Amino acid sequence: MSTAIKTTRLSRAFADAGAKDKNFWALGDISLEIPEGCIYGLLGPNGAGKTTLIKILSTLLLPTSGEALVAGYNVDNEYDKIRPIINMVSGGENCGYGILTVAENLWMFTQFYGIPTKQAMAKIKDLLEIMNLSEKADTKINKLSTGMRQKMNFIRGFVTDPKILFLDEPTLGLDVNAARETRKFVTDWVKNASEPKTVILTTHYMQEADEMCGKLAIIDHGRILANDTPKNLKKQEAGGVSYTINVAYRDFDPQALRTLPGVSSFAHSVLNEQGLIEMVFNLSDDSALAKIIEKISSSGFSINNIQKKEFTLEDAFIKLVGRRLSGGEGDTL
Amino acid sequence: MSMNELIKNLRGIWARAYVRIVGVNREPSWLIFELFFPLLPICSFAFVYKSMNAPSDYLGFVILGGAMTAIWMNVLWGMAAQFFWERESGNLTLYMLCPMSTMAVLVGMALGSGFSTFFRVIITFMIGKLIFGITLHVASYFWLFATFILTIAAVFSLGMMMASFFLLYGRDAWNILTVFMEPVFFLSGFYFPVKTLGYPLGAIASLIPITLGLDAMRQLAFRLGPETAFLPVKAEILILLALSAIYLAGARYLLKKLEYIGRREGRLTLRWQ
Amino acid sequence: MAVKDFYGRLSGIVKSSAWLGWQLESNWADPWIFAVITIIRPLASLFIIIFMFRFALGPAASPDFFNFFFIGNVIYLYVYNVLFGISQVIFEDREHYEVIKYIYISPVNWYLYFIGRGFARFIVASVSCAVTIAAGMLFLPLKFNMTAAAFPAFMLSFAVGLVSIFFMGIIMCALTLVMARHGNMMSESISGIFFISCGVIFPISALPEWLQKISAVIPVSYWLEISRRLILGTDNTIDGVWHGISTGSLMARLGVSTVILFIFSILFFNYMSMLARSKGIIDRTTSY
Repeated sequence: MSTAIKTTRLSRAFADAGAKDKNFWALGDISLEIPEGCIYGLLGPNGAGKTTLIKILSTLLLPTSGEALVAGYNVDNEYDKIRPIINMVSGGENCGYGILTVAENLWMFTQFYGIPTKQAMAKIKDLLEIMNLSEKADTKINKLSTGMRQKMNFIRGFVTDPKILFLDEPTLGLDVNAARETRKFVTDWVKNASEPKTVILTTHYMQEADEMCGKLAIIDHGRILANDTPKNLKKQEAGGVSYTINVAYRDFDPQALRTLPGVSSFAHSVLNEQGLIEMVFNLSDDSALAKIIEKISSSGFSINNIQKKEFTLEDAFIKLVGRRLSGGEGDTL
Repeated sequence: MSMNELIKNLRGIWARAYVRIVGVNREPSWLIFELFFPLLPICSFAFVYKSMNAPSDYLGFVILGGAMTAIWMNVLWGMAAQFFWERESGNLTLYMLCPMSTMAVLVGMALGSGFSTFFRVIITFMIGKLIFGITLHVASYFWLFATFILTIAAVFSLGMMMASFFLLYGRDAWNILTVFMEPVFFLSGFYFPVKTLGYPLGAIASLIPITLGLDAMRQLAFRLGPETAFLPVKAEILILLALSAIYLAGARYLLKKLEYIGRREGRLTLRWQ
Repeated sequence: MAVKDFYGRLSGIVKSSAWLGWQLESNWADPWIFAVITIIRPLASLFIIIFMFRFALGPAASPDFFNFFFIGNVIYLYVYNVLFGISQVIFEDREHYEVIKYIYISPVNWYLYFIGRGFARFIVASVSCAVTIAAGMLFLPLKFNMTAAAFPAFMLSFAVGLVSIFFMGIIMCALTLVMARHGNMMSESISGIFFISCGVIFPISALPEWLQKISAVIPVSYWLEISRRLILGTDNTIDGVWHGISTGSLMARLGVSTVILFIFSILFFNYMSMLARSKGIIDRTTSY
């Protein structure tokens, strides 16, 4: 599988508005390799550097140092080769001219990519249908609701059939149904494409990243903290799996379980006067569970309840970044 | 430029011009704002000459100059400042992402604006001519029309060059444009022949293509025109041709240069300046 | 106490919106660029007319013409700036900064907010006016003959004339509320109507008769004629339409028309803002 995007020690500094002659580093030494044909997520809090990275990759911004290749072309001086094969959609933003209709605005953007009108109109019709916007095709966009304008902007990103698409918070501000439609559309677009399509997605929504991305990077303060599949990130960064086991007998001594192989950490507490004991195990993987159950059973006690806690990307994120994604700096845990 | 590139850019030009042409048709109120109201200051200046019992050709000079202000206003606010609005609305970012040349966007805007401005100037002039009963003595309709078109082309080329600055600058540049209103109306001789300014000042004013275009058109359209000529018509046409080429090349160079600076400094997507 | 609170609140709104207007007017560039722009535009307008005179009449033109258009031009600086400034607020807040909806839903009194924003342009106009007068006295044959006795009357007419322009600005502002962005041209154009019909740079007597009748009911016409009479120290200005009408009568007309404008501006503004609300276009943006 060939590489869609490759960055090597990519950095970007901006002049610090607060202090003269001082730079603020929005990105520092980012090295990434994104294979083509996947949805790659960039996850990070506000100001982490996601949008700066996307701007550099989409040729809107030059890096301060390092190198970025998009489809093998350098963003620095080969932007004219990159632009025909990319597109970008920023969620929450509008595009086009209020005086034109939805179809006219989309047509206009296809012309900037040199797509013949007949072909463009057919594509626009298809996409409007998929996104349930057909009946608004001939409506001027200054008469559309915010959500509809956003849908139109979303279609604009796909109508030129780019090889690499940058989606910057594409579902921002959309209602639940529209967001779901959008996610499904992107996933299907990548899955069903006749030639490999790559999507670089930034999002605030953990569930969205988890559901859509084949691979993702967690960014904070302009640096990549982790870069893997969502499954691996959850497993590695959040520390494997966790089980809660309840045993109903006051005289049960749980200390012996602590030293079993595969148990990373262990805590227990007596829940009530009848002697219900609750034990929380963090295990390196599921295989350690069998040994725990065997040990409890062989000691003559019965297990009342076993509950597996699924680690989420949020757990991995908190562990890596030190705070929740939705919160600010003050939310440090 | 390959054939494919050329077709892509031509499509882009047509698409951007389409916005302007359709936009004007869909907001019919422009007839009032861009035809009726601009007539008012024009008439005021004509009345100044009338109150002094000046020859009727002088009123014709004012009507023609006043009608031509439409071109200049369109270049300032519809061309040069348009990138400011494009950036505010988020469209500039999308233009930058597109594989066509940014020059195609500007040419498209110029053609779209030029189309509507062309009719606006003619209609305004005809109405003014009717109100004040001005008689034309046209030396050559062909050359008069050619000079008019050439003036529009040269002025819009200058507009494209000015527009490139809006890739980097925001409201400051928008406000600085206001400096190019009354001072240019004065320097370019919109309401009096530029010869009145004297040759040194007139020569500087000639850098604004409308100065020579207007002077040549007055010479070609009015009996008293040749008496107030700044330069011979042929020389003015040649200078206009040269200015068109220079400003077009300047626009191309500046767009490339300023786009690069914009990418380097991260100012292409900066808003609410 | 309640009255004091009320006035305190009113002046608070006007002060804060005037401050905002000034920030927006002056904050976009280096102060010296701002100063150059404030000076260069009115001077250029002045020179356009001077050169028209020079072209049509030659260097030996009568000073009466010069005095006439010079005073008209200076007063018109206020008309243009305040009218344009107030109606421009709608475009700035609605289409550029996109904050109009937040201001609309706030408890601020819109009428006062726009008056306050217009103050910034009043300051700009005053700077331009001072520079133009200085240029006129230094380089051009401008002569003031105002007597000490006429000064209070001049100040009174100036204040009333200015207030009438603010009220007209509010009317324009109300119109702009229901218009697309090129309503921008409207404020320029309405000032154009005053430019042609109020005897700014040529006597009203040069206009067709039907237009003279319209001019005679616009407060700006009275304001200009009163100013010319008091500054030049003569009741015989070159504009024949005012001959036989005393300065006192002109001042009374200016006062009455300003009161009518005040009442109309409130009614019209309220109507237009309701209309904009019912059409759902308070926060619309236009672009093409």
